[in-house]
Amino acid sequence: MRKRKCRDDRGDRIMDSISRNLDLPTDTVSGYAHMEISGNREVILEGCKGVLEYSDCVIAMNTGRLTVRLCGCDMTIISMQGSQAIIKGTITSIEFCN
Amino acid sequence: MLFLNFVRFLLGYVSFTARGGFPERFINLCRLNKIILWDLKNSEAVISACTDCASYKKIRSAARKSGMRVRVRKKHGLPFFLERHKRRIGVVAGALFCAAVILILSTRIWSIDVIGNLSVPPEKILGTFEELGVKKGVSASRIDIKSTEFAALQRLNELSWLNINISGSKAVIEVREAVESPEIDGDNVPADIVAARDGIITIIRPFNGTAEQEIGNAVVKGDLLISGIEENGDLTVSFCKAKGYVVARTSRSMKYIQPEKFIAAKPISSKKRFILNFLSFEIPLGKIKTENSYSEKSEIIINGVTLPAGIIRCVETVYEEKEITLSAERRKMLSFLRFTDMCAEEFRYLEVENAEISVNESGEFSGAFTCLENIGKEHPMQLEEAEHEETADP
Repeated sequence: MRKRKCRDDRGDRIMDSISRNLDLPTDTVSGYAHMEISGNREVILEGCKGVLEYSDCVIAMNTGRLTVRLCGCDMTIISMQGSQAIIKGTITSIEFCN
Repeated sequence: MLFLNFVRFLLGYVSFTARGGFPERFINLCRLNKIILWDLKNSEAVISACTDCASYKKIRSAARKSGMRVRVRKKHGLPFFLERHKRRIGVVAGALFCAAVILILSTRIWSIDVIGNLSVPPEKILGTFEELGVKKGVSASRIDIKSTEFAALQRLNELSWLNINISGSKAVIEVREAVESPEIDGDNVPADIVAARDGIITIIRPFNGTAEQEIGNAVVKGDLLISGIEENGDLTVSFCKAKGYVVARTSRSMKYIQPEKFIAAKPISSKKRFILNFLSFEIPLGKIKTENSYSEKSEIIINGVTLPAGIIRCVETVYEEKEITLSAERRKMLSFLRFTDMCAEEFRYLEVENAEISVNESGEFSGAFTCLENIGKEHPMQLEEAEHEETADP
């Protein structure tokens, strides 16, 4: 198990180094989700793989390598199409969990 | 977003609620089944969302797998609207009729404006064009602009140029007025200048011809003042048109008395009537009499465009002929007013040197005036051409 984690960490480091040296966006090379935040009102999340938690105050999205947890009030998924989700509401915090 | 909403409206969409079960699983299953959801809200374990018509049919399996009960809240969009109103034939017929009316009426002319005219009245120009077929209600495509312009220019001699611009249902007639050529005085007709009134000459200025009078001479009406016969250096004479002015001191008198009784038309009642004017139709609101009435036409103008709708206001006045008897005071006052009007009219182009005005007991105003005025009047000469007889030798 520890061996596998070490292998993942090494892979991440290599991909980070490639993207940094070639000036490529990190999300395209290393498979992270792309996130655009407009103030504390709207979040556009690309690379979303599913909804883990959904309520009026919390929306947790699975993005593969990370889980993005948006907390706030009046949280609404304005659109969910393919791997893109647009979330609106009054966002108070964003958490990233492995 | 506006365009997206419009497309959604055209295609139709369903807003629904889903309750019970696992909302997250339901959303994930929808995403996997390529069911597009929007406006997804979760309040008190009830999900409300919108989806398109085709996706809603597929949503049942996702709901069943996630243990949720789905219920349609409202159907939106054009397909549902048409479905709801398909039995209402009248609405459809009305919409079609309205579209047809707009389509037909938009091809016709409903507003005609005239611009560029200063002295020629627009009614005259519009009347000429009406005779040529350019009037309210005619089809714009049937007007032969070139030939109409040419024919109108032939009929309206006061205009030097005109142009018809048709834009939609509006026709604008643009005109330029002609400048009148000055009248050329025919100098070839010999004429004298004779006295038009009796008087004593104070100024005589002959421009053409020979002066026959001197300053201080007393002349009577018809006396020759400037002759049209000129003597040349070789003692021959030539005939010309005499020109010049002769100022003389003349006497004039004037009097006026207002009659004590006279008959005048007095308005006793006035009624207003209205006529609705729509397109080329006139709808009278009540009984309209054309005698003793005048009308005012009011049109609706929006942004400078005259609309084919308006109202005509007719005022009918009934007059009664009545004999009026004036008091002495009023009679005197009216006499004075009329006398001053007459004086203003008579002495408009004269210089009055002296005036003696008197009024008698009956209210009659009389005046004796000494004036300075041009008394010269053109009088053509009576000439006879001598016959040249040619005699043939036997």
